Amino acid sequence: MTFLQPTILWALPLCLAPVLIHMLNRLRFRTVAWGAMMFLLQATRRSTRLARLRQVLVLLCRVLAVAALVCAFGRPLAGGWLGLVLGGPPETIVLLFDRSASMEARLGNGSTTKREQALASLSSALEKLGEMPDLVLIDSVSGQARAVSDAGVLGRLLGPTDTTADLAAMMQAAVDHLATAREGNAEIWIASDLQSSNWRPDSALWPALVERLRAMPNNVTVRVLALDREGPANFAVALSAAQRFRAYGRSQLELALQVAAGRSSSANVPVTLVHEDAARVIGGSGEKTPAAERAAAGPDPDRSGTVAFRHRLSVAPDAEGWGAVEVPGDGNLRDNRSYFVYDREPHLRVVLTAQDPRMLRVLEPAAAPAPALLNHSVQALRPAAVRDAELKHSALVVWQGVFPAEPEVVQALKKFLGTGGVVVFMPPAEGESGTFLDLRWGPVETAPPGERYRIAAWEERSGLLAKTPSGVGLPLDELQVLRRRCIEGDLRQTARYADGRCFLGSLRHGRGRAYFCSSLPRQDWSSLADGTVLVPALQRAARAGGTRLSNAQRAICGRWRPADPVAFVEPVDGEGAKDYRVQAGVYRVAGHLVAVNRDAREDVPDRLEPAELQRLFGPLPFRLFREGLAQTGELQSEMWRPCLGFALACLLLAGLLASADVAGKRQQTAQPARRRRAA
Amino acid sequence: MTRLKRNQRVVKEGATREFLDPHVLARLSRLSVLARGLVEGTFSGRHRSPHRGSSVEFAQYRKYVPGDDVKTFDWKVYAKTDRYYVKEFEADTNLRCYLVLDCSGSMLYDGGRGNKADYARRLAATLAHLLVKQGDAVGLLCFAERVVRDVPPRASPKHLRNIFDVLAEMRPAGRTHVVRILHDLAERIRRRALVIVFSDLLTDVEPLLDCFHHLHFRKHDLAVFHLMDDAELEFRFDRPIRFADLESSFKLVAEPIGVRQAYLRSLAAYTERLRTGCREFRVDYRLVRMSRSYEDVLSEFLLDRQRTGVRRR
Repeated sequence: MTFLQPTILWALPLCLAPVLIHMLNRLRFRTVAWGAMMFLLQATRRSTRLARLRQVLVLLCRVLAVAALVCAFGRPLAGGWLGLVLGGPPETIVLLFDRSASMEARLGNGSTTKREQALASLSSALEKLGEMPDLVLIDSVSGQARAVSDAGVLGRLLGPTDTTADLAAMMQAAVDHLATAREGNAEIWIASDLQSSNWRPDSALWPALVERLRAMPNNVTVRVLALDREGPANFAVALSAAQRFRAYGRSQLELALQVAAGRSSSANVPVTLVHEDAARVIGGSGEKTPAAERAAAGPDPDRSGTVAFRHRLSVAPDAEGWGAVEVPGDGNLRDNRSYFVYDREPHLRVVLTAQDPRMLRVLEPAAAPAPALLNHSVQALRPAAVRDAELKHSALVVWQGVFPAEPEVVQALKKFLGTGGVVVFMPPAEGESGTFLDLRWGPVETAPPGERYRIAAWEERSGLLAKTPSGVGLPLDELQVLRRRCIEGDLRQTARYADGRCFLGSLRHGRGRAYFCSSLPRQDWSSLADGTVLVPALQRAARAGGTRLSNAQRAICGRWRPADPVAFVEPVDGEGAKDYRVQAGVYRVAGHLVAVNRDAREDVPDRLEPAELQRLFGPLPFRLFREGLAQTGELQSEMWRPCLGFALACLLLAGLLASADVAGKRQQTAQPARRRRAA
Repeated sequence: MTRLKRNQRVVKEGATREFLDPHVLARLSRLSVLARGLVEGTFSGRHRSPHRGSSVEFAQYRKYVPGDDVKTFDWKVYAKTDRYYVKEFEADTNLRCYLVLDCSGSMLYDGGRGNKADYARRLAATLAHLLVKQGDAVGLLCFAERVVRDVPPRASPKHLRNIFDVLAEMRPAGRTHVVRILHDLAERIRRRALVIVFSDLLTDVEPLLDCFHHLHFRKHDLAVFHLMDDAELEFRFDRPIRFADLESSFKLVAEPIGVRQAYLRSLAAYTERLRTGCREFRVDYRLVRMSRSYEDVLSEFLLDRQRTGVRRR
């Protein structure tokens, strides 16, 4: 144990004062010459033991009370929740530092970011330890344990980033390190804003890690420095998509972005588009402009202030470039800007395979309704002819019929999906289903005469069935579905029937996505052939798949690495030197552009509650510190309160023992008086 | 020396001693110190003798055995029964009294009314005066760890002066070994006598009762004045006190409030056992509180003896 005021400990001999006072008191006793000593000795023989024991206990309590008071004034620091028992700072401290983008949010007074505050608190706590234990740093960027010899270098090692964090993986690294660390007490210090997306509390990794820590011979204590309090108002802008397409003969770039407001934010902030050295406001978080669209709020009705935008801008067909959308600087400067890049307008090639040749007559015009205007082309292939070479320059594959069985075809489709392609599957009208990606078609179902399968719900904010830029929804509720063959397996429902079955589902595979439609554009199956749903859906699928044909990439900061490890990565956004591994921006590598943005999950304000945190760590010794305490550098917790409480308890016990003794004696003297009165 | 002259000398001796109050002596002089049982004196006196002698007081009939004096025949009984019976008469003798005085350190305890040693001195001196005045022999044995002074019993006024001198010079000190002293005394005294013990009896009760038994076995008349101060009997202290033993250098710090009940229980058990044992061995036991005047104690003692003793003819 260490003390903040060690000079106070010179007063420890004061704890002998009660003993001295007791001895002085004994010297003041009146002396009486006594003859009947034999009776007195007999009487005191029995009560002396108890009385002496009581006296000793009272003295002991008083001595301990004075010692505890002196210690309390010395402001002891403890390495664990039983600091006195542990007897000092730990031998090893493993520091898990969250450097995610959300840690750049400012604290209450707005002058310091959470990361800076955490650094200050940790450095202060480490300095107060005196003798430096083995310090091991695991930050959210590297995820690897490295030894740190001096707490002073933490500021240099733990700069701001636009990355996300995986606390479970960091804890895993910490546990792996402790398994090889030297024996003795160890502590895991975690500095984080407790963002749920970083902690992943439902991960099965946590219970296993806790069990490993419990089984270790080291006494491991977990301390969490939580910087989860709301700061100043904050808006975060994030681009979810940037697609090139051609509409009405013009080459355009469509941006899909979201502006998320923090819980304490209710203001309306403008959204600015920066492109080709020009900046203009394209919308506001609370406004509706002709060029912008205001979408519904997020799926959580309690999360207010999330606004989705789609904005189109005209770009030259063969142009490549970059831009950014931004909101004014506020509580977190790292989430006010999101980048996009675009390449030359790609030619969207759609590959069609149909078990039923009649399908091609509908699917071909649906996939490429105006080839000249939309820069689309369609190629019909037999299912067995689908190969890598055919799909290499394709954006979309529409597959109607039994799932492919040939390994080469399956491999080609998977590779296509893996590289960002989109495949739309439609069921076979009859016969076998086959399997693909552990999914299979169910049996053919026919609606009772005079009835139809009604589509009750679908995703309108984004995806194949989203509203148009002008806000018009697709008429899925008017779709007549007489027959269906629903997909069976684990996938995400994009649209569902009134009975809960899946009309259109999707499954991500690699960078691409596969869609599964449960009906066919045949008169005896549905009214898909009228095109009101099928055409826009296929157009959007082609557009989405066409991003794989672009050299411009979008990447999440912290997860992207160039294909060539030695390739030179040059920042081109004009914001000076940057490290693509930790900073968002626009980079050029191997001749093409990459927009590196922070993970959109960093904008989600959901935090872990202390009870959840306690549940996460289970039976491990665990302490939570809020950043209010951190401001005074008390991560290495002070023990003066427990010392003071202990002193009060000792004094109370001494008082009780002394008063019990007096009460007992008074009762003894009162009893004979009562007997005499009664007599 | 006539009786009057002897008494005058006795009175004169007593008047000069501080532990003798002439007024008390005057008030008690009407009472006699009587032995409860048979005693063996050297002279004729007022006390019953175990031996048969010439006296007016008829004792009993006995069958004639050859050698008996014909004068003692009861002819009336012969006339009635046609058998020979002789009359026996009580023989009176004088009393031999031993005053056994505890001179141990514990007798110095003074509860505010004078110490126990002075009280015992008064009792012993007054009794000695009365005994000599009535013609009985009195001796004095002062003891502590061992016999300090031993004055054999005599009946003369001059001997009384010796006793008073010894009483005046007596300085209590040392430990109490009353058990060994009484056993020795029981062995030493050949003839039946009155033994009066003045002590606080601060020793184990069972060995003490053995002494009493020993004396009783020797057919002595034993009276015990158990002297205890009121403070010793009631133990009314309220603050922590360092108790210093009067018979040694031992000191004990105690909180009287906490030990009083246990002290009183020990004392009560002791005195109850003592009473029971004394009753068993026909010891005239008297617990004397120092707050009570010695005159009351003595008059009660003498009156009790008179009620139970043989009246002088």
